[in-house]
Amino acid sequence: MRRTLLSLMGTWMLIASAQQVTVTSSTTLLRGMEPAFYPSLNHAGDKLLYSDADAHGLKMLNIATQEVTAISEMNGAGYDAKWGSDGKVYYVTSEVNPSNRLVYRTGRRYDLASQSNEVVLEAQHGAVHLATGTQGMAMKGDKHSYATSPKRGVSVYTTGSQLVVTSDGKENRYTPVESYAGYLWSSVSPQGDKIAFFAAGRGIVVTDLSGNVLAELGNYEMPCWYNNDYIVAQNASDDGYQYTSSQILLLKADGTFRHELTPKSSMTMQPSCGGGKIVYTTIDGNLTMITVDINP
Amino acid sequence: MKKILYSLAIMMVAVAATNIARGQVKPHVYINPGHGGHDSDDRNVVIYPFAAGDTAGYWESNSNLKKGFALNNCLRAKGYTTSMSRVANTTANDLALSTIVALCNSSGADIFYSIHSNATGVPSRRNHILALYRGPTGSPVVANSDLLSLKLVERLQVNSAAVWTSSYQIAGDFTFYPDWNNAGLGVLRGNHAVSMLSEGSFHDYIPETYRLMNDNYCWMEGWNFSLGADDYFGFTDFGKGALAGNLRDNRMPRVRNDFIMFGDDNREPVSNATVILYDMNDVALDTCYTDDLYNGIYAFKMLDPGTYKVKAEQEHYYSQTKEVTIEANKSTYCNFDLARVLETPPEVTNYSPVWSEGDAPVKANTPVVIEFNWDMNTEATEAAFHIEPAVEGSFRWEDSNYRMIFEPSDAYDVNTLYTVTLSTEAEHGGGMKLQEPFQLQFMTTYRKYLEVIDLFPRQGDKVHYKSATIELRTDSMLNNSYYYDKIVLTDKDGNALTYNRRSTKSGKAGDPFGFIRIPVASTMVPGEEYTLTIAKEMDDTAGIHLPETIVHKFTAIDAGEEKPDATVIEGFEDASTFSMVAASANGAESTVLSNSTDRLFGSKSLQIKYNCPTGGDYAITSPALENAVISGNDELSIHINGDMSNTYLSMELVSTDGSENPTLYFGKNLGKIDYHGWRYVTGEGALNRSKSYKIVALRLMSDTDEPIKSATIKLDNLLKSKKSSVVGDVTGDGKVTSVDITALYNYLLNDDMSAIVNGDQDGDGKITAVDVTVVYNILLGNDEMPAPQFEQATPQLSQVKVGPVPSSDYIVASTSGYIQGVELYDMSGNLVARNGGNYMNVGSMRDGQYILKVYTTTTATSHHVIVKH
Repeated sequence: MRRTLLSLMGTWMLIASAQQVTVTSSTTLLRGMEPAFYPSLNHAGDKLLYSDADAHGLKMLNIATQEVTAISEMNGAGYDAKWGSDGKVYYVTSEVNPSNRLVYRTGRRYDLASQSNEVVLEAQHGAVHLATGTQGMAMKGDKHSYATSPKRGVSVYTTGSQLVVTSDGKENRYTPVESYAGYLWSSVSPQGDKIAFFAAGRGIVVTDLSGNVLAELGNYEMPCWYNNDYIVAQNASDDGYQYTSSQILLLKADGTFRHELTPKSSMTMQPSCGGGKIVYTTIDGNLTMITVDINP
Repeated sequence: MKKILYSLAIMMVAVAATNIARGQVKPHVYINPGHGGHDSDDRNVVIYPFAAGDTAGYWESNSNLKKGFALNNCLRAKGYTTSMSRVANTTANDLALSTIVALCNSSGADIFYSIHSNATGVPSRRNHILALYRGPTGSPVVANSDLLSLKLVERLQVNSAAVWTSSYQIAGDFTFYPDWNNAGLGVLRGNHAVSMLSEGSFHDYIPETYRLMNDNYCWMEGWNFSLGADDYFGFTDFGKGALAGNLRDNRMPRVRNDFIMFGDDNREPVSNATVILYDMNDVALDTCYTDDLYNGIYAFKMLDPGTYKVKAEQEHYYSQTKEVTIEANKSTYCNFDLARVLETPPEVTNYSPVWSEGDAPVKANTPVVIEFNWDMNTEATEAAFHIEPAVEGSFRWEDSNYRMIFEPSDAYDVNTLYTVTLSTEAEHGGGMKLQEPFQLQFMTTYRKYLEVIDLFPRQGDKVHYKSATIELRTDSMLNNSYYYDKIVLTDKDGNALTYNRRSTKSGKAGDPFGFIRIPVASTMVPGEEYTLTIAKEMDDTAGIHLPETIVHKFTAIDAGEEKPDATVIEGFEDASTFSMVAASANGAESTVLSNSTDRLFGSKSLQIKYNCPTGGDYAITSPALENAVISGNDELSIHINGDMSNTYLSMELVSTDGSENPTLYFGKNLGKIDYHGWRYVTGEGALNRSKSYKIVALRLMSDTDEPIKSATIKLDNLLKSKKSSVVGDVTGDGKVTSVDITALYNYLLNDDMSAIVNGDQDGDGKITAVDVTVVYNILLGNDEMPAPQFEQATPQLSQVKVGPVPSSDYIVASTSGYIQGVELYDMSGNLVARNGGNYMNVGSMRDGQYILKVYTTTTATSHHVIVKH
């Protein structure tokens, strides 16, 4: 085991020393307009969803025109909003029921073309998970669910300590690594052959579609696929009450390379990837979009 | 290990009945036991017997996790569903804030509890509950988060096993952390559950720290959390209650007491006690034990409603039984104050001072210490204490009332035999009395107070503004500790001047007297008044202190001011032209003439180092002196940098016609070097105004009584100028007024010659009461002026008494006259408080040193005081 580790380390060092990452552009978004959090780039990288610090409401920025469109003003709308493969926006809102004080969650969809919202999953108590697929989108609730189509290519979501993978309409549940607290932030790679997710207490894990662990990238959060080989993630630390540092990392999906895109002191967080671009925000909501060049 | 813990948690709730109504949706609660990992972002409080960093000691992560487990089990027993962010205490399990939030959101939680305890972060201590939710106070970001907080703190506050210093506090985190720019608490940011963070108590309040080490205490907090959740959702049908409490000694102070305590926490917790729960038919239902970690906590969990008996017993205490009623969905607290079993009468086991006839007497401030075999009833024992002759004093108890200490308010009388008697009315905590009276005796020494031999600057002095020096001389070796706390020099605004501590000199062991000489680093402002305060607490190596605080006010001057009407006698400072011989039989010892750059004018001064035996007398001669011709109408002035050696400096003159014997100019009283720093001194002496003189020599004569024999003085710019021709014009201002009388009085009473230009009015070569009479006669034409009463010269000590020192509530000033008011200043000279009476309430003021200024109808005196709570 020890020999294997040493061997792995040696390989990593060899490759790491051979690769160079250059930030080729850096653009401040929404400068002076409003603090923005929970950014989500679309696949083309030309539109950006964002919200406020508490994920109340959801807005969309057209990066080219700087035009901002308000999508929702509802609670929780911005927390986990996702772009569907159909170019529409899927998001979940939450409300406290005044009669029994339970929290109910509603699945919604925004159509850019018609600029209209619609409820796709009625309000229900309990968790609602969004499963993004290469050819569709699903919303999984404890009681009711919604899917754009029965077969939606490869899609994934997490519930507790389970990775739920749907491929060609067939759902499989995996527990690739032990994590008492649970899994989060799962996504399928652009070519649909790998899955990245976060296991609490372990960090970012990359598996194949059968749940076999390909690599563990370290105890970082919020992974997003920069391309099929690279992942961008957040590396934050705190004192138990508030953040003490946060930065954005570029990680090779096979675990052989790690590069700091921002310094720890930058308090940069919540990365999102799309169209060869990376967007992240800061502790006080300043959005930045960068492009990088990875050699070789 | 994690698996085992989790399995245990599941097993514990497996048998629990679901109380949530059939068909009702189960709330999901996300539980976040804060921190984790015993690492840098965890909180370790070092308490006996654990070393710093010992994971078995107090760590906030430990108690948070215990509470979290308890809450998890209670909620599941009630039918809730739950998630926990951690079930172990490792760094890996201490999840990032954003991860916790995401896990909570992903779990579909209805409510979120982040479980913490608090710390002050400062030396002061308190213990109360704090609940925080996201947003500004009153406007939670997630609706109902304030309500969830309220429902929780109401349940936590009823915990009477704790000692709370105030009621709970609920706030929005934006308001509570105004410097965080609305970033708020990380576990609430983006959290969509109705959420709050609880700081259940203060873990750096040490009695609470010990309680938080107790599993039952943490369980009760977890249980109370579950009741808060019930209240929030309106659930009332679980049907179980809980009982907890605290076992304390009914009177004995806490043995381990080197920390701040409030209320009942001052009493000793009862460890290793057994608490038994009985039904009303005296059938034992359950047994609980207090641990050995100084908290006395017990608890019985998940009890059916009803009436029970609870019996607390411990081998050193009388057992006690109470009846309690348990209500469903409620915590019941029942504390016990247990009486110790004291089965034998009290005895004196040790005492001091131990003295018997023929032994050396004890110092005059020795406390009386009596130790007992049991903890005593302090009130009865103090009442049984008698000392003859009677002495005012106060009692202090130590070692949980096993040791009584009587401290006299002031020193005992000197050379006095004191008898201390403890009558048989003295009793211990169990009520048994002393079998025989106890008696001790001691004889006091001849000394009661530290006596000041000399203190410079003196009251009313004029001191050169640069390089001033303070010197205190006492009749015994001073205590070397805390000099600078007891010697305070302040400017007119009360600001403390700084000292050159490295150059401070003080007495050595074996010296016949005590002294400390402190160079003042700050430069003073000429013309302004300064205050030197020597605190009453200044003491010698035997602990004997001053009778009262000394306050001297003096004025800064520029001793080197230009004298436009005077002529400088050239060549005076050139040491190479001087020689020195013994002028009397006592002979010279190691005397050195040199030049010094410490000067007022030009490039150098004349420096004279000397070591005078008693009665030493030296003549210092120079052609430069002899070449200077002095008219009988001239007066001579000189700048002297003194050394407080009390050496007399004089000048020997002879008439140029040889008709007069050499005359000592700068008479004995005028030339006494009893000061530090530069002074401008004008000579006095009987010169015939019709003759001319030349200077034969400087004469340096030691005082026969002064202990300091080695010293160094410097001389600069010897000047001659026309003597005032107006008889009676003592001050040389060209007129005769009452000011001249005052100047003469000041000289005769205080040796203050600073204002005197021409003091010898009758031409007899000295200043006496006759000269005062001369001036009076000129002013009033009244030959019946009474002679000055020099023997009425008063010491420079303040007659105002201030105490007690230290003070915790009131400082009171007293004097024989009327006190108009008092003012309290901090050591930076800032006015802290003012009162029109003779007292100052310092109950709410911070511990520290202050200056109390006392205003009488005629005076204002300053006193060094200490506030200590």
